[in-house]
Amino acid sequence: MTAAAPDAASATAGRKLAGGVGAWSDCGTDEVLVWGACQGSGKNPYRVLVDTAGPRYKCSCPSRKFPCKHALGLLFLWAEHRLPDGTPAPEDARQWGSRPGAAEPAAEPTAEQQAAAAKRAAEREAKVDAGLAELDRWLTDQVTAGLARAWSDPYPHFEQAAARMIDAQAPGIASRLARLVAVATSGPGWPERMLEEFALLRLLIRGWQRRAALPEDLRQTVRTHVGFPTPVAQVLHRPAVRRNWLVTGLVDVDDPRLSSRRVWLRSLDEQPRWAVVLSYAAPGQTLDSSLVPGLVLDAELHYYPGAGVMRAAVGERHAEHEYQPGTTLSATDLAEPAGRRRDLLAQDPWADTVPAVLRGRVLREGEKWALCDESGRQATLTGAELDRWRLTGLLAGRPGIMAGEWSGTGFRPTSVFTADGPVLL
Amino acid sequence: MTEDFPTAPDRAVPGTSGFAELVVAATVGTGNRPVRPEVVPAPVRGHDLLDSAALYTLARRTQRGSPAETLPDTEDLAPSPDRPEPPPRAAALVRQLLGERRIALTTAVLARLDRLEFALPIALLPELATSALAPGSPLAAVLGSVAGSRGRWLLAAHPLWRRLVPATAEPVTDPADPRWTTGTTGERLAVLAATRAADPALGTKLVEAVWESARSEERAALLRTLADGLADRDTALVDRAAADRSPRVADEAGTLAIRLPHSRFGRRRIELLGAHVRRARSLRGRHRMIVTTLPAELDPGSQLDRFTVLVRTTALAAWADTVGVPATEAVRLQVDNEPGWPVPQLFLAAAVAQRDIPVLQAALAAVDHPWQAATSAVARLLPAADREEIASAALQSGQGLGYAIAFCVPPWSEALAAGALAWLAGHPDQPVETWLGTATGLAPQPDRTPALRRIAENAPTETARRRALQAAAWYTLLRNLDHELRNP
Repeated sequence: MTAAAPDAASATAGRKLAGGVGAWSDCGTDEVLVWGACQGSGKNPYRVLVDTAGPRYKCSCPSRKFPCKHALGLLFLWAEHRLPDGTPAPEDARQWGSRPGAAEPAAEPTAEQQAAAAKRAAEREAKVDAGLAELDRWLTDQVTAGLARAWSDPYPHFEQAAARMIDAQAPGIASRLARLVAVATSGPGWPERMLEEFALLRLLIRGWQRRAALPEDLRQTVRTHVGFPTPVAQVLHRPAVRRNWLVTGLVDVDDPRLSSRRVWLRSLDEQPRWAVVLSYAAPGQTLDSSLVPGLVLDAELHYYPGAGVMRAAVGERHAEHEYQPGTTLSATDLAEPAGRRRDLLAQDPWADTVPAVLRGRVLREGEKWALCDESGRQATLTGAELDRWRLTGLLAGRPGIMAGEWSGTGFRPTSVFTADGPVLL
Repeated sequence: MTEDFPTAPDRAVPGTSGFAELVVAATVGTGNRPVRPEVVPAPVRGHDLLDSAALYTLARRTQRGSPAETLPDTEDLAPSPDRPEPPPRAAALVRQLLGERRIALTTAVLARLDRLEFALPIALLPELATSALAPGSPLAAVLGSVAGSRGRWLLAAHPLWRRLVPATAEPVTDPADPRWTTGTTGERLAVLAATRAADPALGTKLVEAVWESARSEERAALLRTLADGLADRDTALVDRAAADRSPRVADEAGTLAIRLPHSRFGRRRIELLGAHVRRARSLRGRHRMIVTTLPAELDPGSQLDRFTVLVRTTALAAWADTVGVPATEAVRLQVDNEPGWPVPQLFLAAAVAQRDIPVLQAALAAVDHPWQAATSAVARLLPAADREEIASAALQSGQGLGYAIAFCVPPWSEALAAGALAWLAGHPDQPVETWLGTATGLAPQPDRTPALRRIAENAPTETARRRALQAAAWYTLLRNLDHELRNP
């Protein structure tokens, strides 16, 4: 990117723009085309398009420099994997990308391009090597000096560590570090939880450092957790799994920089298979709403690579219809997802959540909530308080069928399958 | 100490004491307090603390998912629904309108559901219940009813939402009924209100039966409940309460005694009225004037104060016999030599306190600008047609839609609706709340969408145009909801 800049000032300005994430909206990439809108001093943001295969640049700003600071800023964001991937390119980007004379995004890369890509990949791995080595030393320093030191002012403490991991191009690790602020302020028992998170980071670092010796699936899982995404175009070339898939629930995670949605699907057959489809939205964008609880898809899913992976991309959709109320939907007791989670952890120690469709009743005593199955086994009911009250209202004190996520902290309900159909909580 | 330690997940044994040792050392800092090797099991001893913690963590995480304690398995089944939820298309419209997150629109939607005896979909109740708890929220008045029996079950289960459930009870037929004799204060008040509505005289007997044993707060609350259906039969009880040792109870009794001309307090006030106020004619015999004979040494301000107290604290029903002119006519009379005294306003305040609707109506007719007397207390007593008339008068005087939106329950009459639209056509630059209030006030028939769109087309500013169009959209959604609810 720095080499592409017309001068040092443009590179510096582009870097500065990339740091101001709030200035960007409507961003995305399909790994070849990159698009976004950057708010300048005027009323309307500048529309920025980059074709990384060219490379070619387009920006609506009046600058005569080429590429301008906005295109450079967008490229910095792309290079640092801070743009939502897997979203379809908007119309203007697709049209511009397919103009005659432009490099065809799907064309075979030249030897030169392949060499450049390999060099970039090697440089990134080297950066991650160095970053994780530094992080490992930092983790050891923390336990030598004492975790209590971080408790007094956790935000800058962990945010700084996360920022260093962004610089090291390990965004997955950065996210884990940023979440430690919440662990530090989680109340009684926080040192235990913090040490567990540190331990998982240590395990991930060890996995990365020994990645060459790992089985391919586990190696891919480590790469994903460190923050190496697999382009959706590549995933769609992986084997297809065609089933009738029921959308059982979804969870939205709001974040000022990047919101996300995870949609759970379960195949409607005797040995159900689970999948999760992720989508992202930068500020100003809306999340994909084509998969809603109760939708039944006859579709091909393509699973991402890795051990125990449930993440999938939706390929060809053959047919879809609404889930019919009254249709038998198999639900399990609480032991089933607990067993599946143990199996998942054996393959992916950094995972935590498995989806489930359960049959049970809500119990409440004061501010304590639990889900009770027919055998009398109980699990903590988690999630937003209003969601738990909605669940209570929908079940009306009786056992019912609900979908949700089973994790180390309990069961988080996401939808209820009532006699009138599924209701999203 | 030794303990089996997991070397593979399928042999996991949660080792609490070893991990606790690691936690303590890590929290304090191994530089300050190293890990004690004798506490850590052999397979882990000698490892770096974080590596040891990683091994423990892998085992511990597989065991999680159950709460630390088991909650008692108590059954609490919701009652059967007493009203249906809206049909699917109507339910979708309800969600869409509630998604606008505007209190006036939400209240209008809930009122429509309630009026047509549908229950709010229960999944929507928690968020609305939380909003309804805000001080002064109009949602609180309607939510308890539109929630239906299942919704009220849910509200009652929540420590804060339960105050949204209206206290209701079946009336009793006997003061010895245990629901009356052993109920809590809240239960008694609910029983009293229900009984008073069905049999006012029995309501009085109920209060008399517990008067001696009730605490002062309860006695005051019971008296307040007797305000509905107050009649001469309550005189003895009110006289007794007026002499109560508790000032709170005596004050409540005084408020009721004003309305009871045969009570001790009521009689005294009537005597005073008769002593100081009488009807008279003017010299030419054309006007009947009230003449006061208040002590001359009082300055004019004090005289007005005395007259104000007289009017407010004397039974309005006594004016005809005592002064010679009914209160409904007295509101229009001047006070001799005091043409500036606000006679209608004084009677208006008295009518509100004494819940005398005919006098209230007469007083409002006597003031120049009845909408200026717009308070919720006045509006609560007035019939809907009176409120609409005042709203129309306000519109014609160029006062805008404030009164209509605040006090006229939707759907508005055709006359008020036509007046509102005509006024908006001439004054389209209104705040969003005015447009929203209009959209919720207009009846579904006749269809007012074209009129709203015409106002938008002719609006002088872009803001007014957008707001008028938004109002048209809201109105259309509410019309559609009404249609779907009436034609499931």
